Amino acid sequence: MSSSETCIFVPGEAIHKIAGSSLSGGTLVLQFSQADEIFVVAAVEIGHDIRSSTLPSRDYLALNGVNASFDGQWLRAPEPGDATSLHLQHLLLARRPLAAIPIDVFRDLVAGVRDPGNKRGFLITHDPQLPPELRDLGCPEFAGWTIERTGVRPLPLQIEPECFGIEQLAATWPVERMSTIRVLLVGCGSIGSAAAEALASVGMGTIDLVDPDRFLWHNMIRHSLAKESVGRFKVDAMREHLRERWPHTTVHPHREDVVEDAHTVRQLFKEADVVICAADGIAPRRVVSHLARRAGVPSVLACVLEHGAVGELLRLRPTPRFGCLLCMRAALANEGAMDAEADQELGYGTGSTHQPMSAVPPDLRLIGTLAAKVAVATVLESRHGDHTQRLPGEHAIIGLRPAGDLAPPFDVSFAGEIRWSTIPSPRPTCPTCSPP
Amino acid sequence: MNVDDAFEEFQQAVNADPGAVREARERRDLFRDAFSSETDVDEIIASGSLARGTQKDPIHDVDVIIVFDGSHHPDWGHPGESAAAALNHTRERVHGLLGSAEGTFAQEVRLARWRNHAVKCFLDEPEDPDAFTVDAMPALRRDGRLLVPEAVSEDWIACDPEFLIAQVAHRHATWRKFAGTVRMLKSWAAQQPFDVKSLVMEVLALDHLPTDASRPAALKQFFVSAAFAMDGGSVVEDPAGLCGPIQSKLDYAAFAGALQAARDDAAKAIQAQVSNDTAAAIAHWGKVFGADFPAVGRGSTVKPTAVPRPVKDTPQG
Ligand SMILES: [Zn+2]
Repeated sequence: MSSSETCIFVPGEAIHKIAGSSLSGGTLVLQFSQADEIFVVAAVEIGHDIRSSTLPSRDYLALNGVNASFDGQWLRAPEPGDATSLHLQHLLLARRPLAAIPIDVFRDLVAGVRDPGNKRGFLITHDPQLPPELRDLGCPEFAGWTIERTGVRPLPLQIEPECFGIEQLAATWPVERMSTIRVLLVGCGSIGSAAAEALASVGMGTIDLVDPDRFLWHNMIRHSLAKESVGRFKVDAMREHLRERWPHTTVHPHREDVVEDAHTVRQLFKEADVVICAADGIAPRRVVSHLARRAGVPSVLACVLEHGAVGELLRLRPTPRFGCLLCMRAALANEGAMDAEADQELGYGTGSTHQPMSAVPPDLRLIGTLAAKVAVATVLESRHGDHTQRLPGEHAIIGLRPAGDLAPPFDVSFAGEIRWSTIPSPRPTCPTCSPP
Repeated sequence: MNVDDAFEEFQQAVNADPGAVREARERRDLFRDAFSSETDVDEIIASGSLARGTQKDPIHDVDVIIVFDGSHHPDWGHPGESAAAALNHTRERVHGLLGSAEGTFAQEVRLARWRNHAVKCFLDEPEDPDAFTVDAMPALRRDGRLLVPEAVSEDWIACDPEFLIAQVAHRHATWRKFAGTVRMLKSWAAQQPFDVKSLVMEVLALDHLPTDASRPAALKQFFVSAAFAMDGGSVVEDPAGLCGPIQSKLDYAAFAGALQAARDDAAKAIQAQVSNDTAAAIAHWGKVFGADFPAVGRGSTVKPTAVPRPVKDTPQG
C-alpha cells in the first residue's frame, strides 16, 4: 500500500467506538480536505441514531482542514463460515491493482451493504475474530472499501496507532532505561539546541538546560527555535519546543550562566548522569570541566574550531586515567598543536568575547547530534553494560570544511571524516584533577 | 612578487610567441585565399586551437577545413574509397595552388602528405626548429554537421568543430582569462610523463574550469572537480557528442592520479594565499606547473613555509 494514494485516516477514537459498539453496523461521517485529498472519519454511529464525534485533536491541522462531508458506513465482518475471510480477500485484492469484487457478490458476502446508487460509497469493515494466522499474514482487523456499482475495491486505511513515540523502539532500544537518565546541558545555542533535540528524541528522561541568554534574531539561522521564540530566554523557549514534540522528556530550564552562577549550578552537576557543554568560549568549558570532575560525572564538551572548519568532541571521564580540559589543552600546546594564547585575541573582559560564527547550520547540528550520541553512549556503556554503545576514544575531530593545513590531531583532510584518539592523563599539578 | 604577478609571468611563458602566431595566421589566410577561388569549394573554416585562441607555445600546426560542394563530388561521403579520394583531391589541389614548384596561387608548400583525416602541408625548411604545418582537412557539410574522411576506416565521420569553437568563445567572452588559463592547463598536461592530448584538457576545461573566479581559485576548482570526474571513471568525449572519446588510448588511471596530485598542491596554494603566505602559495603553484612557473623568492627573501599550523583555541557552539 503506497501512502501516496487517497486513503481514509481513522482516528483512534473511531477505532475504539466501532469496536465497542453493540451494533453490527452503522453510519460514518467522513470529512474531506480537498487540498490534501484526505478523508477523515469524523463521527461514528455507536447506537441507533446516536453519532459520536471522532475527529482527532486540533494539533492535527491537516486532518482538521475540512471542506466537505460524506456519509459512509461501517459493518461488522461476517462470521467466517465456509466463505473465505472477508479481510483475507481485502489483503489479496489490495495486492492486485484494478481488481474488484462484483457488487452483487460482495453484498452476498456482507449483509447490509448499502446500494451506492450512482455514487461512490465508503465502507469500513471490522473483523473482531480475525484468526491470528491471518493477522500474521498482514490481514487487517479494520478494512476499508469503496463501493461502486462497477465493483468493490479495497481502500487503504491509515489507523492512528496506540503509540507513535520512542516506545515503539522498545524491542531494540532501552527506552525504559533512557527514561531514568538525567542530562545537564550547558549552552542552548546552535550545537546545544541540536543536542537537546537529539537527547529528547532518544527518550531521555530529564534534561536540565542552562543558558543565560535570550534567543535573538541573529541566532535564528542555526537554531532549532524559530521566529516565535525571538525575545524569549533560550532555556524557556527550548523547554516548550521540546515538550511539544517529545512530551515524555522532562525539561528544567535554568536561566543561569555557568561561569557567574557556578555556586548555584554546582548542584545540577551532582544530580546529572552526564553533562554536555555546548557553550561558546573557553571560560564555560573550563567551569564545566572542573565542576563535572568534582561532581564525579562524565562530561562531553562540544564545539567547532577554526570558524567551523573542524568540530571537536571531548569526553572527560573523572578517573585517574584521564585528565581534564586544562590537562588536555596543555598537552596540545606542548605538542604545538594548539595555540593556547589565542584566546587573548578575543579580548575577554572587553565585551567582545564572540567571534563571528561562520559554520553552516547542519555542521553544527551534526556536532550537537554527535555530542548527544557520545553522552548517551557513555551512560549506556558504563552504567547499563550496553556493548553496542562503546566509543573509539575520548577525543574526536570531525572534518566539516577542513583545508588539511592544521597540526595533528586536528589534521583531518575530508569533510565527514571523524578521527578518534585518547586524551592524556592528569598533570600532577592540575588543580582540577589533583586537588590538594 | 605576488601570486597574480607570478601567474602573469607564467602566462607569458605558456603563450605562443607572437611572431609564430602571426605567421600561423598568415598561413591560414594563405590557404583560405588560395582555395576560395576553387569552383568546388563552398567555404574554408579556421579550426584548431588557433581558431579558439587556446594555442600554447610552441605551435605545432594550423588547422583549416576545406568544405567542398557535394554536388561536384557526388561519390564522396559514402563508405569506401571516397575517403582516400577526397584526401587525394585535397593534396593535389594543395600542390596545384600552393606547391613550391607549380603553385598557381603561390609557391609555398614543399611537401603535402595525407594522414588519417587531413593533408599535412610542410612549408618550412626541414631543419627549422620552429617549423609547423598547415593541416588541411576536406569536408562536406550535411545536416548542419561536417563529414570528414577517415582513411583508416575507409569511411566518413560526422564532427562539429565549430561547436567547440563557439563554446570556448562563449566562455572567453564571460571571462577574459579563460583561453589563457586553458593554455596553462595544456602546459600542465605537456609536462606529464604520459601522453595527454591538448584537446583533452581543453574539453575538460569546458566542464570544470569556472568563469567566475580569480585565476588561482578557478584553477584549484578545475583540478578538484576534474580529478573527481576522472577518478569516477568518466571519459573525455567530443563535446559536440559526435566523435566519442577524444583520446581513446589515454591512461586514465595515471591521468586521474596526476590531477589529484595537482589538486592537492593547488589546494595548499590557495590555503597559503588565504593565510597571506605568498611565497608558499607560489611554491605550491610551482609544484603544479613545473619549471615554467616563476620560482619563489625572486625579488623576495621569504622562504616557503608549509608546516601545519596550530589550532586557535576559540571554541564556538
Ligand atoms: Zn586536569
